[in-house]
Amino acid sequence: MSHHFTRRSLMAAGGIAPLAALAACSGDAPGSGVAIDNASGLELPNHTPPPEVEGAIISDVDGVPPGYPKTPAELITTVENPPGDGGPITEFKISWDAPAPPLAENKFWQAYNERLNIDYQPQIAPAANYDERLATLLAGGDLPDIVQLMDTAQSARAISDGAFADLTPYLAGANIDQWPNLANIREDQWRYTAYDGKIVGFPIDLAAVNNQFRYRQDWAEENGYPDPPTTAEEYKEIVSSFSKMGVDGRYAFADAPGFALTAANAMFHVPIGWRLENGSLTHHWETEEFEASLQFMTELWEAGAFHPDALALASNAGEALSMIPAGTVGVSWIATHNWYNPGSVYYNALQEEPEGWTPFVPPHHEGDGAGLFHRSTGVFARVAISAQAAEDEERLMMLLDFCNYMRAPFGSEERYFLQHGEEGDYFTRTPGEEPVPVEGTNFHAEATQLVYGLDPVIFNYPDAEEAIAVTEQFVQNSEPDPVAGLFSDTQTRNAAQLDELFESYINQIIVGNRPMSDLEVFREEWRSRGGDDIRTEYEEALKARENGE
Amino acid sequence: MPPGVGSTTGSSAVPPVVPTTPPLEEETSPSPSSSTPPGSAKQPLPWRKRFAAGVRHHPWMYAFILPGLLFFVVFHYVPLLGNVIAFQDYSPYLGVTGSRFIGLDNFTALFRDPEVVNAILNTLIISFLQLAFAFPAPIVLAIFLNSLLSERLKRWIQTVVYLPHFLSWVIVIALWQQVLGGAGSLARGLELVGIESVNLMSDPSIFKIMVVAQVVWKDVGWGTIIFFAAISTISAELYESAAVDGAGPWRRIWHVTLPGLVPVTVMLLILQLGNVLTVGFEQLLLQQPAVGADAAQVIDTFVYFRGIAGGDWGVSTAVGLIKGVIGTVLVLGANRLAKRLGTDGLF
Amino acid sequence: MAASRAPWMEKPGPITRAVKVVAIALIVLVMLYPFTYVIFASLTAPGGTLHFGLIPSDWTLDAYRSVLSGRIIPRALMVSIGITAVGTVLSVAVTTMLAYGLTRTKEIPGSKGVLYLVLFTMLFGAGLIPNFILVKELGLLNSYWSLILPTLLSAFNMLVVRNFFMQIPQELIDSARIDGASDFQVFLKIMLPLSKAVIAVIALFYAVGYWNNFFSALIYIQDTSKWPIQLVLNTYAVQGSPISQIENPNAAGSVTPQAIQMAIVVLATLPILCIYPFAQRFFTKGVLTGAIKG
Repeated sequence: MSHHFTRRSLMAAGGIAPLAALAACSGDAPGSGVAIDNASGLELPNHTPPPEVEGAIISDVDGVPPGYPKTPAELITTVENPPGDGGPITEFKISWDAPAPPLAENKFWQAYNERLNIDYQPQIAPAANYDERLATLLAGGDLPDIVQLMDTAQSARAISDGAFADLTPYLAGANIDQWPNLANIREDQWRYTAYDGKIVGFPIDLAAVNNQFRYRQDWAEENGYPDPPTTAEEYKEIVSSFSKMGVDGRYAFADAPGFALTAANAMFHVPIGWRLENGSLTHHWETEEFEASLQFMTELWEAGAFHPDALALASNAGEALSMIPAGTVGVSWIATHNWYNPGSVYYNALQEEPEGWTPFVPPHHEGDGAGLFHRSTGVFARVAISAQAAEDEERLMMLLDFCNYMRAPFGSEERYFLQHGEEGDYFTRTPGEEPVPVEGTNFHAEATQLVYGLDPVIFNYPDAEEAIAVTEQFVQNSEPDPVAGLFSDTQTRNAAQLDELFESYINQIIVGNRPMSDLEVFREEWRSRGGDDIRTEYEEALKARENGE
Repeated sequence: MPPGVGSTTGSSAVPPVVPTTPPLEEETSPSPSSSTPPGSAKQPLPWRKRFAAGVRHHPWMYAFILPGLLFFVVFHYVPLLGNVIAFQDYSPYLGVTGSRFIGLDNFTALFRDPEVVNAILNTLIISFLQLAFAFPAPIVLAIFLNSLLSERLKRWIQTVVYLPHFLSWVIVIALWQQVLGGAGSLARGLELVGIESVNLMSDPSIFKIMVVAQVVWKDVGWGTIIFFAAISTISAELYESAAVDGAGPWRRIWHVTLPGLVPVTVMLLILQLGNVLTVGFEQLLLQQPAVGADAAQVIDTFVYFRGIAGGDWGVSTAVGLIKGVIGTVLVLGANRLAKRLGTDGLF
Repeated sequence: MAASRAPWMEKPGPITRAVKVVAIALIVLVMLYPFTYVIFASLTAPGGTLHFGLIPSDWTLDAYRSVLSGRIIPRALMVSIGITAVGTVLSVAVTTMLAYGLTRTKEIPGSKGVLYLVLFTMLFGAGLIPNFILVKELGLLNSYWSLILPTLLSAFNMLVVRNFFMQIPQELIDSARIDGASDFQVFLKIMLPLSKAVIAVIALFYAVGYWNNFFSALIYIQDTSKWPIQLVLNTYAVQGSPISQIENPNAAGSVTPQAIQMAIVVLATLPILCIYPFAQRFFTKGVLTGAIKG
């Protein structure tokens, strides 16, 4: 239940993009212009939906996580035998949390080892230094059994160099039935995790739209705007009224461009990623819609909607986020989980001020319905098994069993254990009621880091119904990036540099240090520094995809 | 030696603390070092024999050198071999043996990048400003504090000024924003007198000055430490005899304190020159979104975006090698110049 | 130490004095502000604001209680203290020995070459991956030694010490040798005692270096229970991650993440600050004079 939490700072800050395109390349020289559709020729594993749970709320909208307002009275068993062989399992994993207490002082870790019959040895990679840790791990030679792979240039290289096992023969078609929990992974998710037509790992789950927009309705009402905005103009009026309430240091947005641009793009229906017309691609930065959205951003800036240090705050996610519960800013775009998870600072802020943070959907700029939002691939990162570990088939089976356990669905004994520990250690449960925490224990601190990875995204809160209703509105108005699942070598290599270029021009245009006309200069620069190459590579990959299917 | 002190030190019974020529340091003649080929015409004895004699006569000196030498060989020279990846399309997983050699491609790729000129220029400007302001700042502060009479006050202030060194850049920049940023105390104060929207922290035109100011603020106190140590080795009798000769406080600073700081200053200056192509990476990376790459792109941030974030270890290693070569040239040149100007130089 | 003023030090005039007082006040204000801010921010209760950007309107010690009652911070502090103490002693020993060994390049064949070799390491680095492979091959991964050995010696510090050694009057060394002292005795009885100031300086440099180094631990230490405080601080508190959730189950509402973050900054900085006054003792007085007379 706490796995979303670890994603919070990341997703909210928009610091690292979730797995958008699959990275793969055949080890050619830099700039060789490789373009692949990773899902072509993929033999998909069969899909089995997760077991039904009493009281579950399943949305009709595809991509909205299932809601479980309460724990079922009877838990089902999905794994008969402990997956492990008593020996060690090593795993390289991403973390946003403080280190878990060591095994000797950690009841959950002890119970975990015993239940799964393993000697679990995690290797923690703090998200901020993920690249350096992965590089040294790869260079060091012996990879851990399981490696969590973020979508970086480095991961792409390692996959294409053959560092990880091809799982296709074991999982394709009905073979996956041996691991029923892994069979819950959806078809579209398999496509986005594949590499060059092969299954090289499991997805770390992500909702179609993971965040939600909220604003301080109480402030808006005080300023004479009782209703949520229905046009861009109204939106601008409302959010720029926050800094004029006579309260020192109060603004609409903490950082820029940040999610203010996300909202503006949504309102002006800027294409998601690229616009695809008759096989040719236009980057959204090249569109008129983006120009309008950027123009709107400069107006917001002039209207005083931003914190004066907004550009600088973009590189201090911690401080920018702390302004949400502190009552310094009036608009937010953070992971849905934060608002519903009892114990989070955002949840608490909401309890204190129930009329405060209210969800809203940024409207179409002229009032023609809702904005347009980005629909994720449903995959945040990959969980791969090292090629070295897979050489021993018996060991590979054991690791697949382990992954199967870790992907246990809600309503199972296994998931309950992974969410609450052994009965009485952290929680006590009377069947039919919600588990009650044991005074003085902290499950989150001891377990979250250890179990993070394959857990499915679910809304397991008392107020799951609202979480689903809000998410539905965003998902219904979302579109995927047309190049999702394609691989462009230039994109992988130049992404960081091009983002930086974007920052240099767009940030300065927003705050008025550069004229709007510099947008054209930026577009030219972007094209000449890799933008055009990326376009060509994606177009080729799109052609390959059409011909392949 | 400036006139006026020469007689003072000369007449003093105490030997000069700051020798004009270093003890046992050779003159300008070629140095007898390991790099001299054995049997060189000027040397009467072959190098191996002289070495053996040296070990026989000074076993302790070699014993002192050995652990340090061993450290540098194992922990610096062995990994230095890894720089070969500058000539490879390096993949950490495949390793040096598995990765392909691509000649000078990494170097040419670097110089084809349009960003690189801007990065080099910014680096040099910031480096120059730091040499001009951040480098002498601790000397001035150390001399000022040294002029205070109360021992207790002196110590207390020393402790205070070195505090900022211990804060990480993330916190330093956040604190600067709180004072000088658009919502900071300065902006609010000026607003009261009718001056609107002052934001020193995201103005690209003064950014480089702000960078140097931040460095001065963070490290000036820390930098004084080494100069304090140097001042402490200046004999009190030098001051005394200068005072007897009628030198006032300013003249004493000029004729006693400053000459006493020359050796350490020259050393630090030469070393600083070896680093001209390196300016605070984290400090600049954090502020780049606010002022843009035109103002804030330096070599190290360029390498970060191009090399590390792009997974291109070959390119980042190539930059390291280029920086090393340029640093070496500068250090050797500065050292020669320093010696020609009559100081010891660095070596 | 109430050192009495030397007779030649006259009291400054009123203007000089006024200028000095203003200068001191300014310096202290500018340098002290951040620390007072960090400390006050660590004491701010939820909902409390900082008056004038400094003084909390509503304060609490909960942040410290929460951090210190957890298991992560106290353990990490112990690790840091251990590494810093052992590392500093070893570093100072090896550095001073090498520095002395390289003071007489003419007499000691080969030592000039070593000097160049050391100098060169300041200009060329090996980068992350080769260093990692070396530490791994030496079997030091996950060992505390990986936090000490790779940074045992700094060429810069060695040069600083050598620079000071070179300024010790040759007469002292010569006369000791005439009395039959070995190089070892000269080192121990003359060089070290006369260089207390600079040794204090490099000890401080090394100590602070060991204390602040989180990157070695990040790369070399896989067992998180061996992480030093700066790594915990850097990866979590500075990133603004929800550490309050982690340290104390019941603290969720009573402490803000910001206060926790600042409390960790304070705890991670205080121990190393305490070393300074000790080092300071050694460089407030001229040590040379007495030695020469005696």
